[in-house]
Amino acid sequence: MSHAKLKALVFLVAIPLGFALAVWLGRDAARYAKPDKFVRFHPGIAPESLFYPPFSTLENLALARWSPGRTLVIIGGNSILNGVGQSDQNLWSRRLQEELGERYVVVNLSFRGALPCEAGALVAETLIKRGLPVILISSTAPATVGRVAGGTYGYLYYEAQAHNRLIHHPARDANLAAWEETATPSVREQQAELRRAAALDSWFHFQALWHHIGYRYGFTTWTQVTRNRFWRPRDTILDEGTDARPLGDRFREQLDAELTITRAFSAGLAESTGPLSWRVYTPQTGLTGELIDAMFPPAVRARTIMLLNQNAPYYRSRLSPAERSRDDFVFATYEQVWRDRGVVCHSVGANFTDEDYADRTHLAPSGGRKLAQLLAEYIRQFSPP
Amino acid sequence: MIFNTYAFALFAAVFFPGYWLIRSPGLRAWWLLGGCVVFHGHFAGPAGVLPIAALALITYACALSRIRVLCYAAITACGVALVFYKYTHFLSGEILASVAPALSAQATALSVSWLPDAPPLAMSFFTFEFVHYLMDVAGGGAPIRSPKTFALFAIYFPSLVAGPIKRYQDFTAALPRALTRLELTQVAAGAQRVALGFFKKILLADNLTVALGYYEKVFFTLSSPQAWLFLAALSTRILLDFSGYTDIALGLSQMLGLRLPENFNYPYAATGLRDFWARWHISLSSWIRDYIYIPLGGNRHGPLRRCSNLVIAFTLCGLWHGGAGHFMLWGLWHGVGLVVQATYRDALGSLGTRIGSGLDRFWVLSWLLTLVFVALGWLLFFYPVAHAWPMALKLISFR
Repeated sequence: MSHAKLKALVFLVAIPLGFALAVWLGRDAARYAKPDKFVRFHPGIAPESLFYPPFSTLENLALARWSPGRTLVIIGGNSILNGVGQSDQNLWSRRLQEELGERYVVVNLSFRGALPCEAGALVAETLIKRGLPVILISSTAPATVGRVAGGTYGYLYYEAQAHNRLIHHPARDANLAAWEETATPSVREQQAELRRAAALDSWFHFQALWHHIGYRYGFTTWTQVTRNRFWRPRDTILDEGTDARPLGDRFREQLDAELTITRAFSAGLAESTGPLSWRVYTPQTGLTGELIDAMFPPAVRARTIMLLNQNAPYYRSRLSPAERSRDDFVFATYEQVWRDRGVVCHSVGANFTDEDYADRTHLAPSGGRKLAQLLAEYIRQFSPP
Repeated sequence: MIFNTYAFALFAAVFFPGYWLIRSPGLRAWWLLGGCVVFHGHFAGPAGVLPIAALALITYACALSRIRVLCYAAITACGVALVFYKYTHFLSGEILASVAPALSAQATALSVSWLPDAPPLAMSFFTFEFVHYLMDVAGGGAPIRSPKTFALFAIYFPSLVAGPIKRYQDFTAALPRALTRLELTQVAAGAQRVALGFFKKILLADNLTVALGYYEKVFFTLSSPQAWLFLAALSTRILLDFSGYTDIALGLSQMLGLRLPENFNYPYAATGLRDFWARWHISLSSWIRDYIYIPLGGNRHGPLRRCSNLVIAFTLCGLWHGGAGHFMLWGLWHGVGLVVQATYRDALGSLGTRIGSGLDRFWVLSWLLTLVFVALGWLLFFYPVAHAWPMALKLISFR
């Protein structure tokens, strides 16, 4: 065999060997890899900076803290529960852990812009499937449930499904299939690609390996968040979340736009039947109910506390009496929609002050403390099956 | 990019080992054709496959007849299909709108109901390869008799999406050898080329794309050196993106034992525009030369015709990249640049001669001039004129 042929042969043999080594390392990473001293998914370790933590990382984060005899409190939901408006040190979920004490383990798996059924909810589901004592805390706006697939965090659903982590729930499969049928060809292909990626990952564990390398050794993708330090390992990118600005500086920016949003918050969900009297649009409540049924398996619903977030009082106080009464009516109606589906549901923020909000929706540290106290009470009262 | 999808990874994981394991050239050809059909069918979808299949059938049949009129009719059909799918929106929405806005609105509404959201996958590449084939056959070349060989030429998957634009004589000559004898060194070299292509495309070009997407929004707040750095990044990005993709295509083909024509040869090392086009997207520029510039008369009918032929050829080259006014202007920019380069020595008399010999002697200056000209041209390529013009002004005024 000539030297050139031998070189080619060595190279070609090295490809599958290297691949096998990567799979072995990925398998290992999928079992153990997770961020150090984790508090929350800040932008440096979240999709905002093109870092898509694999489902195994979320699972590892929850399991690493749990020990027998303790109840896992998994926090899902969006930027409100992620603690935008609170620094790492003043994060409301730290306060919740303090309130609940040693019997509970609080793990904040919320992401900015996530739906109540995504991310943390899927981790809670997989842990419930394993038989662990879990309570899921999530938050949303009235009438917002969404679907586990199709958004930024949809990859987590496909990964969890491909790794056979989820509870068999035919209603979810049927709902997603029906949604995909009506989607555009490009959306359908995008979903098929995510499914292919997840299926391949269940064999080869490349997501876990790649994100472990990205977290520990160096990242290769430029992002707006990490700009001049984009190549640095993500464990060097710290949580730069800050506490809300001084009260005098809050709320006034884009006041008109925020007021418009606050006014529209419940406008599409109920119609007037007389002075301060409202009737809910039933197609919307029906759709919300169907999505709750479809996206949350019964076992998860039974262990979920869903929070409906009120807008900041700074804006609500500027609503007309009729608009405020419509808001109250809509919140009460949608609380009932969740409760009818077996989910414990509470509206939060109605009795909070301006000081408690960082902006229209997010909580300042004092609001976070109030939320933690309130939730600790709900959790202690909560008696899942 | 299609090669950077899990669908392609799965396809490759099944297709390549199968191709290598099959020893019979006949069976290997069928396997290759099956792979090409699956690739095209999956990535183009039925709406993308049907028009191409129809054009391929027309092309094959007309060329086989060797009747010149039929070949030219098929060329017309290819041209009409290309204009219909790729330029209807441009013609009705931009060109017609400037002369008859009401008619343009009607035509646009009509075209929206007729046309698919996007033209069939690789429509421009198919058209150019079919036109080349038909013109060569009409000029006396031998047609491809085997439907299987023609189908392989038409939908050969490595070059399907972004070229290079193949020539059928080279392809049909190389195919039997590739199917008969596959060398280990070729497969290894191809794999290395694929790896290089992915490195250029994903690690470098895609990163630059994200960064440029951010900095283009704040371009007018950048300092002058930063703005020039932006332009350099823009120029680097398109080279890495396109040549990376071409490396992948060439590498994949080499892994099948078939060498495709090179498409890039250090284009930013060019010391003149003519030199640049001999190095950049070589398969396209040679196609433009052979099937537009030369048929228009080339440089055979005096300097004026030569100049107008250059401008027409490069305006069409610009339009080939997309149906929008800024692509046309990008082509025009290069066409005019080539005209200037070809004529300035004679047009400016002794001054032109002095400039010319000066540039010949100080090649660094020619290189810099070419680079700046090409880089400024990329602004027209990537941005609408209303955006590209103030960007160029900011750059050249060093503000």
